[in-house]
Amino acid sequence: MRNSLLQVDDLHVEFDTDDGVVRAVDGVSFAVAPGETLGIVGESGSGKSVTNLAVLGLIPRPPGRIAGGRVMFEGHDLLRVGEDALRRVRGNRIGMIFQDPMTSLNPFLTVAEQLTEVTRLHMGHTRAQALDHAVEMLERVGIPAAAERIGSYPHEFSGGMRQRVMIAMALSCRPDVLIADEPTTALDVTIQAQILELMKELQRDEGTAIIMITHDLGVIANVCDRVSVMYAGRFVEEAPVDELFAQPRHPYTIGLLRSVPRLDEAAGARLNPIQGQPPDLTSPGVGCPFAPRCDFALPVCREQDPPIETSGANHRFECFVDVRDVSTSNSTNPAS
Amino acid sequence: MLVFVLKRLLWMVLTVWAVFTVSFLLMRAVPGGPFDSEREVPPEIKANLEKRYHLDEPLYQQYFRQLAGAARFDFGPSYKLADYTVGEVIAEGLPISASLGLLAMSFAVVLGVTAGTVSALRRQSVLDVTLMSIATIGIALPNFIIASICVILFVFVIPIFPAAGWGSISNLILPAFCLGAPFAAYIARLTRTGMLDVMGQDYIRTARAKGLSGRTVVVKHALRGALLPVASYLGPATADIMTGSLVVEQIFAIPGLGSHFVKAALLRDFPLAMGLVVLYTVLLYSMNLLVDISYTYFDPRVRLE
Repeated sequence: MRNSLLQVDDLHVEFDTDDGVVRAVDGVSFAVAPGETLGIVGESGSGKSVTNLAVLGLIPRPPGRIAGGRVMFEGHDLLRVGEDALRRVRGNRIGMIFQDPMTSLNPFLTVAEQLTEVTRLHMGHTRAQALDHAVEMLERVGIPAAAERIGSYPHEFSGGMRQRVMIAMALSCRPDVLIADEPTTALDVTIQAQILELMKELQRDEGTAIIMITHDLGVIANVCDRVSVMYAGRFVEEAPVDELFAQPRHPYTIGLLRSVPRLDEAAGARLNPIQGQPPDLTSPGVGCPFAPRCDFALPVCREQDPPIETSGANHRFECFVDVRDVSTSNSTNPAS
Repeated sequence: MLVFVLKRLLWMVLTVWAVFTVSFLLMRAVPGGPFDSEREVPPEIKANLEKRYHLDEPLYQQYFRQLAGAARFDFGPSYKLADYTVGEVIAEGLPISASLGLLAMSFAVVLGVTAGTVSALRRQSVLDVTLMSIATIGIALPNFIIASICVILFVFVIPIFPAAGWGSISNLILPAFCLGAPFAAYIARLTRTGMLDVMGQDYIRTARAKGLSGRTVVVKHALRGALLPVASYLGPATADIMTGSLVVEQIFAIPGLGSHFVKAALLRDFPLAMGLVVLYTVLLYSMNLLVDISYTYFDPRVRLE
């Protein structure tokens, strides 16, 4: 990847559970360049959030464990720099916002306190400087009467406003990378659009790279430059956003795209979910993890790990099958 | 806030009245009276005594007489402690039991919160298991065993504290420790549970994602939420500990209130028993009121109405 800012190589994350070791992230690699938005899409439990928490060392340990890989940022491997160095990166060079703004802010502390502590820590602001900066940030994320409202507690804000506060907090130190973990999932649709618009706008102004984690393909189409599709702890397909939507090459991606209800379908048309359940990650068998649910599966899919195929410079996928040969017959007439 | 407090005070008056009435009836329902004794007392003397203490009146008259006294916090003379009124017994014992109790409770809070927090943060470690085992033992062991061990260790083996008595600081340490130990153990368990719960919250992940140090995350972001269950426990526990402990006060020969609770009931010292019951009720109620008010300090989402 050209001058990548953050580069993750072959990351493995495992969790010890009563049922055995769960391989939540199983050899994931990606990179983001300055000003770029990378989408990571996948269903619940596919390892999207864990991947990004691991980047900042936020996996609860125990039971979690980084089992291998590198996370290169500004010439250092974040997995090996140690807690103190990592703390200087968190909230400072790499900001993070989370899914549920109702629970992600501390209910016991004022918004002012939660916003100012991060700049006082990383930018050496005095209390007064930090407060001015915090008001300015709240104004930038579109909170009306920011100067008066900054002394309020989170419960005095609505969900959308709280997510704006989270964004202001994550961007306070002008980070190089913003990791957004399902930032709009808990918000209603009109607020979702506003928050996405705000993030795009701030990215244009600051040149921040964004890693957008979501299960919503609409969000991906709206804001991302490139997309990685995650399944069972692996990136099964990566492509520029237009290409992924126009020419998906992995059967799982095709399933995801087909499961989105469409406005131009006849009323009463059935939804097209992907059949079956995600695999149990405690006992991964051999072969492609998606094979049991795959309409295109061949016998070989259950016997060997799929090869990494490429199509053009930036399109990469892990599959035995060239879906372009069979998709017409199979997709209109799904097997079984 | 003011309305809330006034309302609660009104409820307290009603509660005290109800407790008073039930206790009065229970006391009288138990067979035996204050002046029964194994030695045969001449009936004239007994009649005189009963007349002196109005025990010859019908029950409802005694009830209203005592209720009127209780309303003025005047429970009259003790039947058994000659020359003492109930007020004097309480005025003498309560400051001693209360100061010992408050010291014991402060010690219990400091020790319990520290141990609970450390345990939660080092979950499943040797330290956690050790601390929580000690806490379980602390809850399970009766006071007199802890006290006996302490006396053997710190009075006889290593003579640094006096065995018993009251009046100097050194007299306070051992009894405060023995009195506070079970409370410390319980608070440690409450704090650990609360802390584990809070440390799993999303906002703690946010705080860590901001790059705050582990200590800031715990002290500034987690502790308050973790201590909410401790705060609600402290109300009744403080009322309990301030009114004295029979066992600890007996062992260390401390002239507190603890033994009066038991003796007043056993000896049918009606006025003293009523006085102590009312005292305990008022204390319990006040402590719970303080806890409710403290919630507004702890948690900005709580509003009293």
